[in-house]
Amino acid sequence: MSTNAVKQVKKKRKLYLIPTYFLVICYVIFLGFPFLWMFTTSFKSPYELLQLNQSLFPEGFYMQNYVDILEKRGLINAAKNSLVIAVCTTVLTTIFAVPAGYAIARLRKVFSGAATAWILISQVFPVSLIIIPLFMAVRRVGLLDSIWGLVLVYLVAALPFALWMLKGYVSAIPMDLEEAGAMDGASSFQILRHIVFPLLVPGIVATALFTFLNSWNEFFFALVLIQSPESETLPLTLARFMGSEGQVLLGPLAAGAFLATIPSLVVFGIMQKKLASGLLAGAVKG
Amino acid sequence: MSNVAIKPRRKSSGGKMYNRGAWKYAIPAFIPLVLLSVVPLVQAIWTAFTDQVAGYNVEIKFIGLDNFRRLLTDTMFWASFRIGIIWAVSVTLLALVLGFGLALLLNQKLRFLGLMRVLSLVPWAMPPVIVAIMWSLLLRPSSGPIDQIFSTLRLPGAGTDWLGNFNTAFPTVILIGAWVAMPIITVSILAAIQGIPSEMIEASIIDGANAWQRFRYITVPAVRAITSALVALNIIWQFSSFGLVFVLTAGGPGGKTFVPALFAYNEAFKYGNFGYAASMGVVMALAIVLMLGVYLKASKREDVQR
Amino acid sequence: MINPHRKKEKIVKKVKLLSILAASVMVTSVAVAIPARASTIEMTYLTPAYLKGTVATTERIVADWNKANPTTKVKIVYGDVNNMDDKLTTAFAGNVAPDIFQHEAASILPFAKQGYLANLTQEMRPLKSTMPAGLWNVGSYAAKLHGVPTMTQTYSVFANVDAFKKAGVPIPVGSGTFTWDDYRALAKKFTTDGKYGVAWGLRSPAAMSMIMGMNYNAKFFRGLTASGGTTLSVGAAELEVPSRIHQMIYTDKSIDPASLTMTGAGPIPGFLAGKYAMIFAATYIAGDLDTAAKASGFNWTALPLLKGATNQQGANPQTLSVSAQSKYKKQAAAFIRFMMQDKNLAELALGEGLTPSTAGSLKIAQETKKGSAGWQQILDDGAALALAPFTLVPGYQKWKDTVLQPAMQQYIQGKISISELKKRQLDGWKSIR
Repeated sequence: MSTNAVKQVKKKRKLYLIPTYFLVICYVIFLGFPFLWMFTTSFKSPYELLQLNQSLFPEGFYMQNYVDILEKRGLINAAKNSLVIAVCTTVLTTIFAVPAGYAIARLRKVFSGAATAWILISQVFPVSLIIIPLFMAVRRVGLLDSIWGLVLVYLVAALPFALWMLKGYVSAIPMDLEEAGAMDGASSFQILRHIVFPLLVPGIVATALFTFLNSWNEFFFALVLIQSPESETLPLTLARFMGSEGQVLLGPLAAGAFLATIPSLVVFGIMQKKLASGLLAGAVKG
Repeated sequence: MSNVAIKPRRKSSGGKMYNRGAWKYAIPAFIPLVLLSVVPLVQAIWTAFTDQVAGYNVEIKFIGLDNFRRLLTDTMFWASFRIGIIWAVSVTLLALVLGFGLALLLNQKLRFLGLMRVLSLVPWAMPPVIVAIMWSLLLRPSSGPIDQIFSTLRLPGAGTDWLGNFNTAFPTVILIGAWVAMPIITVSILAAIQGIPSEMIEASIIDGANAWQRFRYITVPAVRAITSALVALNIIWQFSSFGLVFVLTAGGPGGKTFVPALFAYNEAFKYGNFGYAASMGVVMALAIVLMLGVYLKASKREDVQR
Repeated sequence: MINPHRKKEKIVKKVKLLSILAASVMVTSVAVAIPARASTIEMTYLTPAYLKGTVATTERIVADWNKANPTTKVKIVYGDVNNMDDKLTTAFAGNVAPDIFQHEAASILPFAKQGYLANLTQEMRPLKSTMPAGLWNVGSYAAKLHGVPTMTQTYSVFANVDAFKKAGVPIPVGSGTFTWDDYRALAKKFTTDGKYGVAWGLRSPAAMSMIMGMNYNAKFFRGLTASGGTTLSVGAAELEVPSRIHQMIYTDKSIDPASLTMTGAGPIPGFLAGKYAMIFAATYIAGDLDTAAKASGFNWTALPLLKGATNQQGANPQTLSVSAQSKYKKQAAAFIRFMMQDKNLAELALGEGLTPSTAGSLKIAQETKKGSAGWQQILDDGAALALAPFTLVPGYQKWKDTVLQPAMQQYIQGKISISELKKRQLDGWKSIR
């Protein structure tokens, strides 16, 4: 390993830093401004929100929005439900999809046609049209109005996406690594566990993250399958702050939306370290 | 390098063993899929061939291709179809460009990297309906912050009603759609880039490769598979999405943002024509499958060539 | 010879025994059944209430009912108004519909036609005389009542009292005293030096223009037959309201063009800031106007309903209905009657910024809002509502959403002419039928 060459590259990199940071700032504004605006809106009083020229910053710290949403409308219970559902869905999806994604990626000729066709078709049909037969199916199994029914539905909805993505990640792993392992006499399971899995971690993390988020934010299935308030999920509770014709209770809604976004960001904050994992090194040597 | 055609039956003992073992892992995933996915889907497709409408104990008759015949002459549906395709392709491309760029940025050692990465997830961390409401309030003419900023900075376009104006509505909605679609692309591509073994990069530096060459010969192939998957998925999702558009513009102004999924949804839930709506769904599904078939064949051909 | 007697005795004994057994079984089963029938039932009430006040009122009403009727409890389920249709459609299809629910009349008509709503004619008979016939009829179809109207909105012109005072313009009051021509003149008068007289949120003008069309007796659809056949004809009466609006926008230039793409409540911030002397909106905005009045003393009022040939408007009230699949239809109806008691209904309606339907509740509402001229006007106007005949036409909703809405939007934004508007309405109807 020549440190000189690497050092040269690093020097060149420093020149790129200024335009790089500029781009970074542009992205930060593009992505973060709406969120910041929502955050400051959650501290505005109803009268403030009717004003014509609203500044970005609230006039005071009107905490009543937060009080309203936490106290009276069952946001905490809904958050608990959403969390349970999202975690279960993510765990189950990952358990099923990782081996299956591996199988599809490696056994192209055997699986690919049917699996691909299946994955595509299940995603392609508009959700609103499957909802009634699906609703009947869930009802027949007796899981209507239950958190577990929703987990099952989300699992089935998430698998195609997870399979598709993991297939892509597995395809990026060089076959030589696995062949090398097989030459060394490793069993199929050992190959999967010690060679493929470590390289797959960022991919799994990304897929798990999106499964979590899709489940956390999902609205339509929850709307139709959940009937009682105790089993409500977060998006359902938030939707109740919206009236007809674009009218909203903006203050509490902003507060609720902000609170609802935090867990996802926290989870991601923790998980994003894995995306930069140093576990990559040593796959070939080890 | 990683996409060499795989020969399913290898002579070496290791190869045979791991091939056979591998496919067993797929089974658990497919059981719930079949039960809760196949059956409703088949039922939904079947409905397209009936005259089912909403109602108490209503009689359902098989009517063959009648719904489809009616659909052929439904000019409004085809207009929305066109809008849907433009929407799906535009959002996907824009999100891909923006997301890829961001992923590359995030791959560097910058300050506040953690915060940046978390921020890149924000658009996906909120339910789409909330996103739509937030943006429609942001873009309100005169009382929304965006317009106020434009006015203060004397930028052209101050005072425009971005979501209500006939010319700007569709592009604005596409931009917001890309905003929402970015995080998945950013994080997935970033994951793929992070999955490149660091030895490969260092080896290439030793071999004298510059930044552009490294990008073209290491980064791009590594993310090719995942990018392909993302593009395909995004086109599918965007084509059948309607929640965002619905809250932003309700299909207006003047029908300029009326996406086909919204059309089918209205047909089923507002007017109760389940059979007719299902036929729309089938047509939409077929169109997507066709588009993707073409796209996948094209990318596979490229793969083989490499 | 003793045997036949013995046999008879035995038989008689057996019969006696059996009958005692049977009787005791019957008595026990009846005794067991009675408590079973008297055990508590729980009904679900689905409401789209989301405003703080309405939610609090609803909970109070339900708590009062539960206290007074411990065996027929009601459980509140909150739905969101934008997705009520989805929820109800799937709930009906899957037989898990709520026992009682609130929704607007126009949206539940399809459910009534599909047979999902219970017939409330008998149960609600005592209420029939308490509200105007026009309003009562909106909740009925094929002579059966399927939804009891509870509260309504009207489309009114709201005025900034201080602006009127400053300009020395008297504010119209009463009923039938404010015509479209008056409206046009006032708008022109207040359009001076860069300011517009009126702001009008016309992003989705279809429903409003149909309802206001009744001002000029616009019929649109004629010849509604039992099998659902109708013809659409668009004549001078039907085009009167759209062309007047167009005139105010483009000829007089008295309506702020920026407001043309705003939602109904969009112009409120500008109105509160004094940018316009008048806005045209549905009366539910009164709630927001009151908030401003309380916070800054903003002085607002509502003008009398606009009059063309008449000041009638199509009604689309909120209604309470009972699901046909409900097991407790009678008790559900009793709960509805409880909700519609004068004090309860008045409180609910005022919380939403709407006019309550029954005479008694209207009186209480007027008492409560004595100090507000605007509210008095709104509450007085409730009588001018009537059933809009076009809502009964099959396919009307689809025509309104997919043909009329885009066409009206383009017309209002000056992209098409009035003859083109007429053509699109007619062609669109043909293609839908």
